[in-house]
Amino acid sequence: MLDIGKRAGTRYVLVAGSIIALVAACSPTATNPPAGSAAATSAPAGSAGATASAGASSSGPIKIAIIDAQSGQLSSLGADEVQGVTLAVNAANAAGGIDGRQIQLQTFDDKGDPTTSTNVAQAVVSGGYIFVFGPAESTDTIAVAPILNKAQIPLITSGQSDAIANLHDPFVFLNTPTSSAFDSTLATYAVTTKGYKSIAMISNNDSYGKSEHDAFLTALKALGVTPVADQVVTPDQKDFSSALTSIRQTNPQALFIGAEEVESGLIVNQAKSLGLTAQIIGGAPILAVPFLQTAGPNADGCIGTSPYIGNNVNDQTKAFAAAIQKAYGATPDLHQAKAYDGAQIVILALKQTHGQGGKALADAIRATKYNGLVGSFSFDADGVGVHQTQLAVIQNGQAVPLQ
Amino acid sequence: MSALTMPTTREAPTASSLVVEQLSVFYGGVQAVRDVSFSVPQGGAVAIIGANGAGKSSILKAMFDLVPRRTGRIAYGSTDLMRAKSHEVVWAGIGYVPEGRRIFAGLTVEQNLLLGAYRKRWDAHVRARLAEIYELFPKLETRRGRLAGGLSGGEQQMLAIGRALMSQPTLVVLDEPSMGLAPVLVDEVADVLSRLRTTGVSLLLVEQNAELTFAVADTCIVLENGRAVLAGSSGELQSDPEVRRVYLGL
Amino acid sequence: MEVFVQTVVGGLTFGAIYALVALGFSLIYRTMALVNFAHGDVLMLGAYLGSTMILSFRLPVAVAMVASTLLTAAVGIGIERILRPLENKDLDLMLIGTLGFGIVLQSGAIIVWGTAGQAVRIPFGAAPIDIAGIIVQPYDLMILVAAAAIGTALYLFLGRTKLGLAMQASAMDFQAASAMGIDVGRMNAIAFAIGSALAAIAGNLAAPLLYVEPTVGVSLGIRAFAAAMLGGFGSIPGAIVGGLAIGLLDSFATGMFQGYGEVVTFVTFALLISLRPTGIFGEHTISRV
Ligand SMILES: Nc1ncnc2c1ncn2[C@@H]1O[C@H](COP(=O)(O)OP(=O)(O)OP(=O)(O)O)[C@@H](O)[C@H]1O
Ligand SMILES: [Mg+2]
Repeated sequence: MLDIGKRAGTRYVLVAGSIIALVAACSPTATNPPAGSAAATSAPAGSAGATASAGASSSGPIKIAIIDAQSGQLSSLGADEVQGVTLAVNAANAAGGIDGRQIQLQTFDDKGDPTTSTNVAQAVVSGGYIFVFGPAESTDTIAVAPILNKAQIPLITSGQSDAIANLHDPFVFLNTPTSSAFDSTLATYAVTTKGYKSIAMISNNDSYGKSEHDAFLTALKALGVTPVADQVVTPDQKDFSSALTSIRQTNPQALFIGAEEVESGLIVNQAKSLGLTAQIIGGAPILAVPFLQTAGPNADGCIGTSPYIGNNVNDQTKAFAAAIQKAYGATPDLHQAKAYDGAQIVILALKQTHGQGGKALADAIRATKYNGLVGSFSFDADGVGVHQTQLAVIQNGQAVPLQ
Repeated sequence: MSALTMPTTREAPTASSLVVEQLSVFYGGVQAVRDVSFSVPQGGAVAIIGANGAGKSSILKAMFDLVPRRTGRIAYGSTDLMRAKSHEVVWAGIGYVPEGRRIFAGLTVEQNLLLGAYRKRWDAHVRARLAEIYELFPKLETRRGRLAGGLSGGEQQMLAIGRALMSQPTLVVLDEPSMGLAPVLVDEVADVLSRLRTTGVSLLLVEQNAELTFAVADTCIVLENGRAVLAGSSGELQSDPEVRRVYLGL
Repeated sequence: MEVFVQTVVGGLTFGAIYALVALGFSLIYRTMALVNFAHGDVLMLGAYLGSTMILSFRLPVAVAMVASTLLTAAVGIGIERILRPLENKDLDLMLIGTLGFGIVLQSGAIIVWGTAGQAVRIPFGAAPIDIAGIIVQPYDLMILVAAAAIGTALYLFLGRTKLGLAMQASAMDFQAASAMGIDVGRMNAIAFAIGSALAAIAGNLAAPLLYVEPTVGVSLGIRAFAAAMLGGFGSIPGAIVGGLAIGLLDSFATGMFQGYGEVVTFVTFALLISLRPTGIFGEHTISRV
C-alpha cells in the first residue's frame, strides 16, 4: 500500500536477477567444446551442396561431425561423448591420421532436442561431412537417421534403444548393446545360471523404468518365468514401504530394480531395512556412483549389468581412464568408453577405405571386428556390434566383474 | 471504576507537548496534507475535524511514519518524530488508535492488549495495567480468551483503545474512535476519554461525531483539502453554524 | 494387514519430514504473510552443509547438524535482508524474489558441489524394532519425535511468548504492529532465521533417508507446501497434521495405485483443498492492508 522504497525494491530484484543470470552463465552445464574438437580450426563451410555427395573430396582433412547436446539438460551426455571421441581421434591424428590426412572434428549442438537434431543434420549434410558421431539420445538418433541415410553418411550413435536397431538402416551403428541385451543378460543370469524361480520386480514409471520393466519382463517370459511380484513406483517416490512389504510377503529369491541410480539406492536401503533378503539385481544404475553412494554398505552384494563395469577392471580400462583423466581431468564411465570404442572402429574403417566415406565406409564399419572397452564388436545387419553386457557384483562399494 | 493510573517516570517519558509545524504529506504525486501546524499542550485535548478525504488520518499516520513521504516538523517533547521509525514513536509515550481499529484479528483479546505493552516487560506492572483496562472495559474481560476477530465492532473499538492505553502513553492519538458505535457506546468512549484527561494524558482526536468531539476536546482544528482553515476553542466552533453544518452534519 | 501397518510406518516417517518443512513455511507465513518459495532450496542448502561437514570435515553428526543449522539460519537472515526493501510494500515482487533465491541457491549448490550428489548414513546403528513383522527403524521414530517436539516448541513460542505474539501480529497488520512498538523488520529477520533453521534441521534429518543433490529440496518442498495448505497455511498444528497426512496419503496412494500414486496424491489433495480451502486448522485468512 505504501509507495516508499518501491523503486529501491525493483532495483534489488534486478540485482537478484542479474545474480541468477551470472550464476547460470558460470554453471558447469554450459560446456565448451574441449580443446581439440576442431571448433577453432574448422574450415569455412564454403562449398555447401557441391560436397553434399558423401566422401567426394579425397584430399585435405577428413571432416567428421559430432551431433550432441552441448547445452540444456542432456549436455553432460554430450560432453562425455565429445571427450571419448576426441581422445581417440587426437591419438589417430598424432599417429599420422588416415593415409597422412588429418581427421577434422566439428561439434554440433542439438540441445538434446529431436527438432534441433534434424536441423543440425541438414547442416552436416550440406557441410560435406562424411561421418557422424552421436547423438547420445535415442530419440534424436532416430530423428537424424533418415536424413543421413539419404546422404549416405554413416553414423555411430551412443543411443541404446532397441528402436534404433529396428530401423534396419545400413548406415546406422550402435556403440553399445541395445537395452534388451542388458535385461536378457540379467534374466539369463538369474534364471539359468542361478536357477532362481521366484523373482520379484520393482520399477518406476518414467521412460527408463518402463523400458527396463518391459525388457526384463520379456526376457523373463522368454525363459519361462513369471515374476512373483511386479510393483510400480514413481520417480519422485521416497517411501517404498508398501511396495516392498508386498514384495517381502512373496518371499522372492531375487528382486529386480528398474529405476535410476538414486531411486535404486533408496529402494535398496528400504528393502534392507524391511528385512528383505532377496538378491538384488538391476541394470547399469546398480554399478553407478550415485547408487553406490546412496546405498552405501547396502550396495554390497547387489548385482548389476553394464557393457562397462568400471575403470579398474583391466589394463585396457585403466589406461583409458588415465588418458581421459590426463586430457580432461574427468573420471570416465560408460559414456566416454563407448564413444571411444565407436571412434576407434571408425578410424579402423577409414583406414580400410583410405578416407573414403559413403557406402564404402558403412560396409567397412560393418566388417570391423574390434575388441573394445565395452565388449567385442561384431556388427550385425542392424548395426548392433556388442550383443551382451557384463555382469558385476558390488564388493566393498566397488563393482567387480562376476566370474 | 477506579481512575487510570498515570505512568510513573520510571516507565515512560514525562508528559510533554506535541508540536506539528508545516506538515505536508504526499502519496506519490498526491499531496494530502499541506503545511499544517498545530500543537497539543501537555494535558490538552485537540480535535481535528473535516470532511471525508480532508487529510485527517494522514496527519496521524504521518506521526507514525506510516505515509510514503512527509515534510515539516513533528516533535513530542524532546523527541523528533521525523527521525523516529514507526515502532519507535510509542517509546516517546504516544499511543495510537488507528482508523478502522486494526486489531490483531487472529490473536485473543488479552494477547492484543498485552501487545499494546510490547515495549515493556510483561511483569506485575503490566498485569496491573491489564486489570485497569478490564475495569475500564468490563466487556473485554469477559471476552479475554476469544479471538479478537470474533468481537463485535463496538468491542473491537474498545479493544483498540484499550490496546493503545496499555503502554501508559502520555499522549493518545485516536482516529475516529466513535466510528460504527451505537450512541450509548459513544457516550462510554467519551466517558473514558474524559477520565483519561483527568489523569493528565493529552489527546489528539480525529472525529466526525460532534457530541464526542465537543465533549472531549478543548481546541478544534478544521481541515479542508489538506489545509487547516480554522482553529478555535470547542466552545467557539460548537456555536459556529458553518462548522456545525459542513463538518459535523448538525 | 502387514502391508497396511508397514505403509503407515513409512508414511508417518516421511510425513514427519514434510511436517518439519511445513513448519518453516508456516512460521514465515505467520510472520510475514509470505510464502517463501525458496524454502525447499534452503532445506537443500542445510542438507548439503550438514552432509559436507560430516563427509569432508569429519565432524560429529550432532556438531554438523548444529553448525549447518546456524549457517543456514544466517543465510535466511541474508535473504530477508535483501528482500527487506520490498517488505510490506510489494508482496508479489517479494514472492518472485523468493523464487529467484530458490534458483540462486540451486545454481550455487551446483557450482559448489556439482550436479552429482552425496549421501550420508544414518548416524546410529540401533537395531530395528520388529513387532510381528512390522519393522520400525529407531531413526524413523527419532524423526517423528523431533517433528512433534519442534512443532510443540514452535506452537508454544508463537502463542505463549511475547516475541512469538509480536511475530504473529506483524503478519496480521504490520502497521498496527509497528504502532505498538514492534520492529517488524526484526520480526521478519527472526522468522526467516527460525524458518531457515527448521529447513536445515529437516534437511539434516532427511539426508540419510535420501540423496543430497541440488534438487533434493524440490519434491520435499512441494509436498511440504501441500502439507502446509492442507493443515491450514500458517497454522502450526496444521503443519504437523498436514505433513503426516500428506506422508500417509502419498504412501497409501503409491501403494494402492502404484505408478499413478503421485497423481492420486495430488488429486486427493486438490479435492480436499477445494472442499475446505482454509485447510484443517485454517482459522482465519490474513488480509493485507
Ligand atoms: N494510501 C493512499 N494512497 C493514495 N492516496 C491516499 C492514500 N491514503 C489517503 N489518500 C488520499 O489522501 C487524502 C486524505 O486522506 P485521509 O485518509 O487522510 O482523509 P481523512 O480526512 O482521514 O478522510 P476520512 O474522513 O474519509 O477518513 C484523500 O484524498 C485520499 O484519497
Ligand atoms: Mg480518516
